[in-house]
Amino acid sequence: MTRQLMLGSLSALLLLLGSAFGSTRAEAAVTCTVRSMVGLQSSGGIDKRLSFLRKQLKRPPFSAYKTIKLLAKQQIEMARRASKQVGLPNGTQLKLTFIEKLLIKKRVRLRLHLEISKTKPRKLLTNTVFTIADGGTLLLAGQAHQGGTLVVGVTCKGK
Amino acid sequence: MSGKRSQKEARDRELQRFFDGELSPAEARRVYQRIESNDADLMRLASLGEMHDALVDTASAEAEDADFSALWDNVERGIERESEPASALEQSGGPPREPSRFARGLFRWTMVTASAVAVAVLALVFWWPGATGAPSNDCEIESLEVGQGAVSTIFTIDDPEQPDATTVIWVSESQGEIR
Repeated sequence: MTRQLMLGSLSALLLLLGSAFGSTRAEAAVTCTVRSMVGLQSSGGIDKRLSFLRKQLKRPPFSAYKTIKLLAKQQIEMARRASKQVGLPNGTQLKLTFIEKLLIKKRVRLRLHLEISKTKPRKLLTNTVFTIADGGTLLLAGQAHQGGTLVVGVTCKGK
Repeated sequence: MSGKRSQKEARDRELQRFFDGELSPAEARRVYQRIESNDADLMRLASLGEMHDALVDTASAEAEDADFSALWDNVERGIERESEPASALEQSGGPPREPSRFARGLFRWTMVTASAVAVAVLALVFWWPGATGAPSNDCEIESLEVGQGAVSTIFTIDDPEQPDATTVIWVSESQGEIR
């Protein structure tokens, strides 16, 4: 009885370990979604398409805005060490580089390099390297746009 | 207060079951010993006897001298039954039969499968990132540079429903060039 119980439990554990190990060995790639939003003082509420960020957007520093509207949503896929660039609504360029996929304390984390720059004339405005939880979102804000403030959400998920 | 009441109710129920001969021999012996040394329980048992008699025979409703002989006979029979050998118990249709080999095997495999499923579910809950709820936004900013003259601030937005805070990089309007 005890032996059968142990065998059953062991096989379930091995199955899980196998699948977890398999995922870490897979070719690292990442899919990032860049959401461009604008925060305005006029009333209107938070865009329904941003419901997954509603709680965060209702808290400071975003609580100052009565409206947060989604302007654009772009998805990019990158292999390890590859870069992709997307245009933001205020004419600046956002460039993402997927540096690596890490496994820290059994949790996947993604390391990326982000640049925001003006093209004409070329000016580097923001340059950051960050590590984020798999599926996590980083928010960047502060640039003026449409009488409000541009907010950029970068959500990345490893493959 | 309610604890005492529920305790009393439990004792009353036990007495009722004792009176009805529903207790196992071991339980009956325990209750019997308790009644012997407890006047209150003896009184309750007496009132049960009175009620029983009143129901059975309305003609003898004035049961001042409750007849406990049948009750004691029941108790004694129960105690004797406990000390009877197994064969005698089987003949009298006493204890239930041993489950069949098939039933035992089925039970064993059900237990093994249930244990394996439980282990798998627990492992999923503990190992699967984000399995416990909303995805984590945990972010570590390793380096940050902004254009000359610009001011950057790193905010964190805490949410009790999120496992971690959400990071915000705020770069002030008057941005200059880094290099």
